[in-house]
Amino acid sequence: MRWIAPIGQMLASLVTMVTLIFLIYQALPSSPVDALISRFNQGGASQRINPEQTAKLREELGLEGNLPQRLSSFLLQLVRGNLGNSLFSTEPVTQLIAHHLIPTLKIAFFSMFLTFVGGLGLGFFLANRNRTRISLHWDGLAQVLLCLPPFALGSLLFATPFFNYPILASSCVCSVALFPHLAFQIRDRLMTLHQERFTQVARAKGLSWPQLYRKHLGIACLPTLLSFLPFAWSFFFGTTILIEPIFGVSGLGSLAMQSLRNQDAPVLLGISLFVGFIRLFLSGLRDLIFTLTFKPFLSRNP
Amino acid sequence: MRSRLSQIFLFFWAGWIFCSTLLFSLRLIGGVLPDFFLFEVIDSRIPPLQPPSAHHWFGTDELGRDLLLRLLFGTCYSLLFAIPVAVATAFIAALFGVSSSFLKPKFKLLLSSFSDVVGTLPLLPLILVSLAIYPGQMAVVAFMKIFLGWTTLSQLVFLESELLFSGPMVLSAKAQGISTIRIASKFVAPQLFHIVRGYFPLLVFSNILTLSALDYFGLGFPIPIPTLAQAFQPFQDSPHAWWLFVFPFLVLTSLLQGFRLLTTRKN
Repeated sequence: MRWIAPIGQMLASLVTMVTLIFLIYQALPSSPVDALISRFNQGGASQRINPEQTAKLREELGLEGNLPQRLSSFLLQLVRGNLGNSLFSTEPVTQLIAHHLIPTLKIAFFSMFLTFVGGLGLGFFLANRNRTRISLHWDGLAQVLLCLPPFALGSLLFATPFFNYPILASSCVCSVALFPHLAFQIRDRLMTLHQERFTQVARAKGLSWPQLYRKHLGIACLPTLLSFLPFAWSFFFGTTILIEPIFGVSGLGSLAMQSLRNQDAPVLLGISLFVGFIRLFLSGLRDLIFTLTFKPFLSRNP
Repeated sequence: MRSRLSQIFLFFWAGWIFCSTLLFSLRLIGGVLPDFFLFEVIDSRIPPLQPPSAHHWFGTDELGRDLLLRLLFGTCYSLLFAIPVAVATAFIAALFGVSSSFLKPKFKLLLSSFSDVVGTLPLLPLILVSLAIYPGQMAVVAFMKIFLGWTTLSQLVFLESELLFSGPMVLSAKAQGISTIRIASKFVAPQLFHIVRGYFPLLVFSNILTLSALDYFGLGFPIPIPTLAQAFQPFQDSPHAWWLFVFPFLVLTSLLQGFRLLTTRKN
């Protein structure tokens, strides 16, 4: 029954997130329909949309009625998996997202792989070289890496032969600013564990560092990795929106930029909901794993 | 202890910001600067895409405009956006954090969960949604940054104010009959101000990065206002014009690095 609380919390957070995104969308004085109509009406008089057509369009997009009615209708449509239709292509938003998801997932997979390999390896390496020259140089380099704008890196790689490998180039750009975060967290976690009594007792009994890492310290870094996942996803998606258009990858990032240029707010809203949902799902998964595995372990072994 | 290299770097960083602010102030006065310093004027006599020279230290861009000038003004415009947004974000975060500590435990948990959920909202997609409806409106971008950016600082402020309010000094002050408002204003607020001040450069860092990302795609400041990221796009079309990448990259990265160093120094 321990799993009920984290799942309940995740569902409550999900409903709150959806409501907040809906309210942000509704709080803007103008609506995407008004933006679309004003753009359409800039054409000739024969192309203008009359008030009846405007009212019908608003009803189809769920923009009629008071706020609670619109919110409940929105939540109901969401539960059915209906994110509305694109204002530009009239395709269902869910279909558009599904169509553009695979390239983004490829970039996500490769960049997470690079981040974990680079971050874990570096974190383990630096934990054993605290206060050395290498550690100081790495701190300086990491500060610079964290300040590199991803779109600038993307522009640089675009001008190199790397351009012929868009997925790999995008993954490298996404992971460059991400893996220092992970390396710092792993290093700090390991340095704390090095000071723990069980580590000192194990070393006094003759256990070698590789054995200690393999049997105890490696697993103890798992909570850090789990906590890193939701942050990594948010960071990754914010970066991929900027990088995919540079390399011409037809993923969610390019879809977002294309929708922006078409003033296609329902698609952008659908992408926002999707990204927020994944982030909440990863946070909920982390809490569930902590509740089911680590908390009972810690309560038995204070 | 800040290293010597960081000190030298911060010296030049402050100098660059001072020069950009001075140039902007002189431009505001009007009539002081010669035509060369008016970034919106395109002089057709100057050839485009010129490499760095004695006349144009950072070279010229695709329209023949001096790159050094555009980067100096771009720095100032970026700070004009980033600093007020950071001030507003810090104010809201501090207000939220401190007021949460006066509530009952049930409401504290609710507000803490609310700030967690707001923290998970995707910033860039929501900014793009707003820009889809209000293209080119920087006020909308500023509103989104403020609305979605206060959560981390508010949690820090909340934790610190909880520690302070449960500390021995506040408890003994309350026992002596001093009002909570007086305690908050005389003791708690100055302590919390240090946290907000330490986190403030990171807020500015985040705002400059977001603005530059939007500027890169032409979604930030409208033409002809110069920005730090504008030169990267022409570099993609003219990769031989290395100065269109190197100098804006150095300026932008150094600007961000300076604010990051200020954060780590104060923390």
